[in-house]
Parts: sequence; structure tokens; C-alpha cells
Amino acid sequence: MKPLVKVKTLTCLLFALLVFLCSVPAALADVVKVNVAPRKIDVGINFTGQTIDVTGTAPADSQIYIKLVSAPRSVDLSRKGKVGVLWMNVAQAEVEGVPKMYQVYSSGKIDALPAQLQEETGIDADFNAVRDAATIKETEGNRVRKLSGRDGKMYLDALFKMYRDDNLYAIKEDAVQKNGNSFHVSISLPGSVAQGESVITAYAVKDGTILGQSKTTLTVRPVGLVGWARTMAKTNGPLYGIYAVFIALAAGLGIDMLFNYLEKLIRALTGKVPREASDPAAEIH
Amino acid sequence: MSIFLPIAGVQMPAYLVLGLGGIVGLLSGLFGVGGGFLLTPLLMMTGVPPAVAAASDTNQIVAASASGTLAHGRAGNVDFRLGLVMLVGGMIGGTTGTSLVRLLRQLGNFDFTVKIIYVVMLLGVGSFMFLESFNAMRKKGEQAQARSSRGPGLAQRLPFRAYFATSGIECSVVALFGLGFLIGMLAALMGVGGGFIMLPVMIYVLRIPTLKAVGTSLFTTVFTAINVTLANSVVNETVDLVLALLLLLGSSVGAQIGVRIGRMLKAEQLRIVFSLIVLGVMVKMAHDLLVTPSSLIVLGGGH
Repeated sequence: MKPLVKVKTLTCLLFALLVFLCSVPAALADVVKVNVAPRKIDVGINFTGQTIDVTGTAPADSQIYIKLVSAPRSVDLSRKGKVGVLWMNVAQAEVEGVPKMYQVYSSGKIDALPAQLQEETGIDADFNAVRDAATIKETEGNRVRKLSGRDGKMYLDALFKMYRDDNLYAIKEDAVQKNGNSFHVSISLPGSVAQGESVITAYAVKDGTILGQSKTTLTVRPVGLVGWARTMAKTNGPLYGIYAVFIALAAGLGIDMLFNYLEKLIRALTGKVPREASDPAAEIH
Repeated sequence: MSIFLPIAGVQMPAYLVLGLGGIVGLLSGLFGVGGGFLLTPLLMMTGVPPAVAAASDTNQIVAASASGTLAHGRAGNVDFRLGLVMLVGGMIGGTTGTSLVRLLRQLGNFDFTVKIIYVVMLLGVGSFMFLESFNAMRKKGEQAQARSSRGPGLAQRLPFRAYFATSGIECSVVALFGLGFLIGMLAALMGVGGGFIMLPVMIYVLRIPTLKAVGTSLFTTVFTAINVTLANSVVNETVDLVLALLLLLGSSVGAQIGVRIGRMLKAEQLRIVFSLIVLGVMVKMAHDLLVTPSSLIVLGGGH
């Protein structure tokens, strides 16, 4: 074979491979389609949580696994320990890279997913995907050390428990309802829902293989007074502090004036002077 | 009706926040204390993050103490001059104490020592006040004799003496400044407001009548609470204005009621109830230190 032909064949093969690789995610995405309604949640002063509906289509004979994950953030924790006979705060930890929300809903069992697939999708019973991404900076006295998510297991276990109690972390098997090639799950998000953008990913799995996946986003944004307070507190702390102090002083003054007025009114109506029993003779000096 | 708290990121029933504020305001009006010892843990129990609970609590103290100070002031129970001298001392003491905390932390076992000292101090102050007030209630007849047998205290003997008409005492300005400095420093070291230390010092060391001590203590609290609120807003971004607003509406009303109840009580009755609260706080702290906590890892921040 001549060298020129060799090059042409190789180019054709590479092009075909490129076309194939590019078409794989598109093909996977086409097999599964996921939607969320509503796509945007406004958090105002009366917000108490919101139910969202995640719907979509997938091959009828596949199992559906849905993952809802918010952006990672940092959380401060304290660890108590025994000093002598007393329980005290003995260490502080800054946990980084942990999403505030991590929820998994499925039509089948999570155990049915092979270990490698659990790792690939980040869907497992112990939030190992979060553990792997987290880092912990622990300060104990003058000693500072960095821990991986696996080494700092006790911190993450405690944090996950708090989040599970608040319905921010959840694993609900058999929660996704299927009807032919369509699926549906209602998710009740608590008032403490993670603000910002969360990603919802749906996987269709059959015989330990991903047939397809699809993503959509859910946006939670503060509005009205909530939005103003959050933005102001983060961008202009000094002015926010001055507002806080003036509001407090004005409230103190206003309530005092109101009570003073009421007291005078009652006195005028009843003709009674309020009793003051503080007896100077009872003082200790 | 539930209200969403923007900085805390949780929702809470509005009546619960108003009620909690009311109870703490009542204590403020009655005893001139901030009430953070009670409110911060209660807010944490309802799901508010510790740092937000402590900062918003301090913001509501501004309102409660301002409301209480005005009510006490109208009844002639606030010694503004005396309070101002102690306040200046307290502010400087607080700043010194904050720097000292950093230094002492490096020596190790700082938190352990501070907790022990705080519990012992609360036990000492609470027991002393309880016994003194209890005896005063039992032996009212012997009060005058006991009073006259006392000589002038150190605070009265130091130089730069001035007469404080509202409190009815002659006292050294240096001593007032020094006591304010010590209280401010202790408060910074213990990580608490200072009302618990201020009131007994005013009553027993400076010998100010109880009700005037309460009013003056409350007056100084307004400024320390403003200082901490501003610091929290700038440095930590943890003041939740909505939470504070609900709390302070409740606490301003509570403070007014507290002031009026205080006027109806006898001085020793006021002191004995205060001593019981001090002892209650001591028992709670001792319990927290001795009993195995339900969770060894908790969210950081707070008092």
C-alpha cells in the first residue's frame, strides 16, 4: 500500500470514530428525556417549601434513576470531645465541596446497579460520590490538617444526618412511577432548599448498562425582601448592619411611645397611678 | 403563619419567633440582661444555624434594651453619666479581651479554663445573691442596722470621686472605668454579653439601688449590642434582618412589660428571681459540660 493511501484511510477512520463518539451522548440523550416543573422556584417571605414534578420518557423495559444535586459549598462544623470530665468543643472543621441537596429517586433498587455504575452515576446508598469530592480542613488546637472525604467520615456522617433530617438528602427507591415509556416522580423540597441552580439527571438502566441519560436544571432564587436581605448582607455588610441597628432602635422607640401612650390613656380613664412597690429601704446599701 | 428567614435559610412560625422575643424582652426589662443565654439555644433548637441565631439575637437586644432603657429612663431609673463611664471602660475592656482570647488560645486549654471559671462564677454570684436576697426578705427589720455597719467600699475611696445624683452614690470615676473595663474583658473572654456580671457589680460593689442598676445596665447594653450587631454584619454576614425584626417586635413589647413588673416588685424579690435565673443558667451549662451530647458533631458558630 502506498503511503498516501495509508494516510487517507487513517483520516477516514479517524473521522468515522469522531462522528461515532460525538453521536453517542446525543443518542443516549435521545433515549431518555427529563423535564421538571416548575423549572424556577421563587423564595419569598412566605416560602415554606415546594413540590416539583420530574417527568420524562425512557425505554419501557429500563429502570429509572433520578439524581438531584445542588452546587457544592462549604460548611463549618464543630466537634465535641472529652477534656477531663467535661464535654467541650475540641475541633473545628471546614467541609468543602459538599452540595446542600443530594437526592436520589429510582424505580428499582440501588443495589441492582453494579458497583462500577454506582460510581459512574454517583448513585449509591451512602453518598460516596459526595464523600469522594469533599475535603475537610480540621483545626484542633494549634494543629491544622487536611482530610479527604473518606478520612473525615465522622464529619460527613454527621452532616449527612442533619441534611437527611431536613429532607435535603434523600434516597428513595421505588419512588419513580412508570407507565409504558414515561416516568414521573413528585419531589417535596423543604423550605431550606438549596438556592441557586441544581442539576437533575435521569438515567435509564437495563441489565447493568446505561441505555441513556438526560439532564435538566432547577433554579431556586430569592425574591422580594428575602432577595434584598440576602444580596444586601453579602454585598454591603456595613450598610446592612446600620439598617439593622436603626430598625431595632426605631422599633424600641416606637413600642416605648406606644406603651407610654397606653399607660397615660389607662391612667386618664381609671384615674389610677401605676403602683411602684420598689422600696428604697429594702436596698442593701 | 410561617415566615421564611432569608439569611438563616429556614422557615419558622411567626408567632413562635414573636413569643420567644417576648419572653427574652421580659427578662431584659426586668433584669437589664440581654437574654442571649436563653434565646440563642432556643433558636438553634428550631433549626436556625448557630452563627445566625447569635448575631440576630444581638440585633434584637438593641431594640429590647432601647425600649427598656426609655421606659426605665422615664421613671428616673437610668444613671446616664455613670453608665457612660462604665460603657467606655467596657468597650476598651472588650477590645482588650478579644485580643487576649487570641493570645490565650495559643496556650491551649483556654476554652476548658474559661468554661470552668464561668460556671464557678455563675454559681458564686447566683448563690450569693440568692442568700443575700433571701435573708433580706426574712430579716427586713435588721436591714437598717446591717446597712449602717458597712464602711465605704474601694470604689468609693479611689481618687476622682464624683457624685452621681440618679444612683445616689459618690464614687471614683477611675473605679467605674476600671469595673467597666473588667466586665468588658470578662464578657469577651467568656463570649457572653456581660449583663450577668454588670448587674451584681452595680448592686453589690457600687451599691446602686436595684431598679436603678437594672435601668443603667440596660442603657449600657444598648451600645454593646449595637457594636456587636455592626461587627457581625460586616465580618460574618450572619444578621438575619427578618428574624431579628420579628424577635425585636416581641422583645420590645416584652421589655416594656418587664419594666412595669419590675416596678411592682420589691428590690429583694427582683434580686432573688435574678439569682435563680443565674443559677438556672449555671445548671444548664454544667449539664452541657457533663452529660454526653446527643451528637458529637454540630454546625459551627454561635455563642
